Amino acid sequence: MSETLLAAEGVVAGYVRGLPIVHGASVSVARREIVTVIGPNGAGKSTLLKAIAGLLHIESGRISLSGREIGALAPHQIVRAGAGYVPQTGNVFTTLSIQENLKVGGHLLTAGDRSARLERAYIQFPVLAEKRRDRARTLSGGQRQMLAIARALMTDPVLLMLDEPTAGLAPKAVDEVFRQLRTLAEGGVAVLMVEQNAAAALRISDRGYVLAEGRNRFEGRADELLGDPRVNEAFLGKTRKTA
Amino acid sequence: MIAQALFDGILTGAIIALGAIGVSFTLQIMRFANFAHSELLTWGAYLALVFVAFAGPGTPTGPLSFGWQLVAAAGFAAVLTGLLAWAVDAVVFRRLRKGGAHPLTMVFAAFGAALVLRHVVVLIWGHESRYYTRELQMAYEIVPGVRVLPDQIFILALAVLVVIALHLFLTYSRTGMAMRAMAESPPLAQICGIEVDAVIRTTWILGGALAALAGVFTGLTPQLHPEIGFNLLLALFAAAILGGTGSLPGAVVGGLLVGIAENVSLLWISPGYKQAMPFLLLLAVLLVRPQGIFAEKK
Amino acid sequence: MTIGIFSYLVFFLCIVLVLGLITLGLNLQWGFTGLFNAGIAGFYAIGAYTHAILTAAPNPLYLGNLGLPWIVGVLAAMAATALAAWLIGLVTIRLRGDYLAIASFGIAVSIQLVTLNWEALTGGSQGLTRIPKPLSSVFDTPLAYNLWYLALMVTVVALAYFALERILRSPWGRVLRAIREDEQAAVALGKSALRFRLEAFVLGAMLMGLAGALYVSFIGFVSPFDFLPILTFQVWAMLIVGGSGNNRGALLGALVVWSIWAASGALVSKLVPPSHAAQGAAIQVILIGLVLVLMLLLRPRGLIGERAVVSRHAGD
Repeated sequence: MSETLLAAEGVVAGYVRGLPIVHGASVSVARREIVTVIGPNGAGKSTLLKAIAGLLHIESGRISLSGREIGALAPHQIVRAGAGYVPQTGNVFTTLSIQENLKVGGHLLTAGDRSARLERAYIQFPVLAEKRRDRARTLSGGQRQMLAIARALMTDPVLLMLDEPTAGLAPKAVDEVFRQLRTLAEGGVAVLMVEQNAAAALRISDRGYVLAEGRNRFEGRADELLGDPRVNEAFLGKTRKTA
Repeated sequence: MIAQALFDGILTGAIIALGAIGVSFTLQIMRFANFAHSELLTWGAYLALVFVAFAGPGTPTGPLSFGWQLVAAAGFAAVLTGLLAWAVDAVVFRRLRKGGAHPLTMVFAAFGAALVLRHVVVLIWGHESRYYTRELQMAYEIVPGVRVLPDQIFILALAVLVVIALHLFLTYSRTGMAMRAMAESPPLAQICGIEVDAVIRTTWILGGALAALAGVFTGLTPQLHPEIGFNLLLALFAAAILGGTGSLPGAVVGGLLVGIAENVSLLWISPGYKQAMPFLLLLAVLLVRPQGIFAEKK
Repeated sequence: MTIGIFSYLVFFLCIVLVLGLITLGLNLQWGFTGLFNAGIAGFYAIGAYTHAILTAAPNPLYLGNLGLPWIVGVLAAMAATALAAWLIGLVTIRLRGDYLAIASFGIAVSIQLVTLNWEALTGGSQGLTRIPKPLSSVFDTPLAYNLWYLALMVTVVALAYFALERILRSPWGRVLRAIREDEQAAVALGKSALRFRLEAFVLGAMLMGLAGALYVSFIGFVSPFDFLPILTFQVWAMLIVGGSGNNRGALLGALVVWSIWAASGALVSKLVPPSHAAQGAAIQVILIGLVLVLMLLLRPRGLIGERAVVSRHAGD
């Protein structure tokens, strides 16, 4: 097993100080791993990701990325440290063009790097190349998700975090997203995602966590979780209807 | 008569637009109504006055009432006012933001800062009206029924240049794009690696510099006094909200509309009520389309 | 000489009570409902001028000056202010807090313009005079009159205070508090939350209008220069100093801030030669402005206490 990239331990966080939604959750992700976090609505999965990304205040717990403490850092510093985050909603700038979205994603890069990564993004996601001058608002759901991911990849993160990347997408788009994530992991980027499409996500993951009421419930290898009757019954049964 | 009112309205509107840009972005990015912004206009005007006091307004160039010195004074004022704006943010508002203050606490602080800034002007320069230059100008009738002063044309031209430059900056520069990104969504901008404080700083400095220009233009047409900024405050807010906050075209169009409405209304109502027009416009916008004309909400 | 000082003190206290009434109104709007009224001077002016126009002795120069009884003026003042507050509130309360600030500021500016320009009604910059002072025939010396008015003001303020305390403990008040403290509750109540806020805003404004009527009937004349924007700032200062959310604090704040303002004004006029009176006044405002902003910076959460953190929905 490769070394741990992200280690979040005992994270307590919420939107309002004094009212945490996550009550001491822990996750870890190693290099090249795809880790999925599943659980019922309100379990605090999104909140946990936001906390790791630096968007929420962490009341207690420790978070380290590549051995470096990031729990107290501001979001822009965490990006600089190598974490990319794709929120579930509001994940592209609708008033900017695709090209501008990507450029803003590359805000921290030198001009040279930014141009190079821009080209790379267009190769990886050809549909974005075609529509590069169009406003992001004009994209379909699946295309927006591609843009959101491409945007996060501009900084070449070592860890990519995604909040429900396949929410509301057509089956073909869902497959495309998962395919892209697998390619990324193979290429060396660790992936941590929260998913409602639990079964499908676990199928492409190495490991998984089940969160409920802000706490860890189960964890283990993805195939084990998929086979575990307790997990199946409580958490996978629901999603089969919606997937 | 309407044509003259339209022209006067466009002139006033251009000035309001320049002042409204800063207010617009502050409203959008920091979500707080900066009641102190109008005092940056006043300070810009008076700082230029200081320069003029030393260097003189310059011998009138061509049909204008001033020489290059006044333009230099405007530039000098813009830089200093930008710095003043930065200082005010650093000393007052940044601390409040860091302390997790409620946006309305900041509004009250803005009130206080505005009072202090305005009264320091009174302290130093007194209440009397002052002038950049005593040169008289000939009005030209460019179109039947429309008389303009060369100074006014100059102001309009300069305002247009500034807006174009700003547009280019916002569209093509890294900082400009960061500002637009932050105007749409601060959290998303942050996870792109954009530092909120840096953008806010830029917003203040740019807003301050633009306000200074607006102040100098106001002082030129035709005089300065400590209330010039405060008298425009409502118009600035109306313009920013009318056009849609966080948008350069919004602030410009908003400003022009407010200016035109003010001046055209003079055809029917007494000049004493001129300042009430922006307020009525504001109420109308808030009733009908509170997000403004150019609103591009996600 | 001592009678002079005593008389001045009585006068001073009357003014403090008028301002205290305004501050109580603001406390209801801000302290209990979280609404930022940046146009206090405007509502105060509406009350004052309505009362003046209705009760001043008839004068062919003016449209108003209807010479109506004092109580009519007072009630009309409250009604007029309520109407203005209702209109402004209806448009802006559903929007952002700072939009209410801008709109209320706009009303204050507009009212000021009307008072200065509609000379036929308001007397313009000269104002209106010969506003009847209630029971002035009974209390015919200045001292006696001031003492009577002090008694009147104490009664009115006490009534307002107890009425407010009562209202705030009533079911209506409890809902208001819930809305203020818990944004979720406010969202759950939806449109009704709006209605409660509007009602609180209007009620607070009515107190300001009442204060306006009581002020002009004490002074006997009304002038636009008593209702300048700085008054808004002064009342806010009173609320901050006294601690918002607390009616007793509001009254105390009025006393403290007005005393400081008057004292600093007296000090400045002693130290600064009359030729520089304007500069002296500027210094006074600057000092007080600085002190208030400093207070905001040094207090850990500025205007609001811990409660606000709970009521602010950080998910935006």
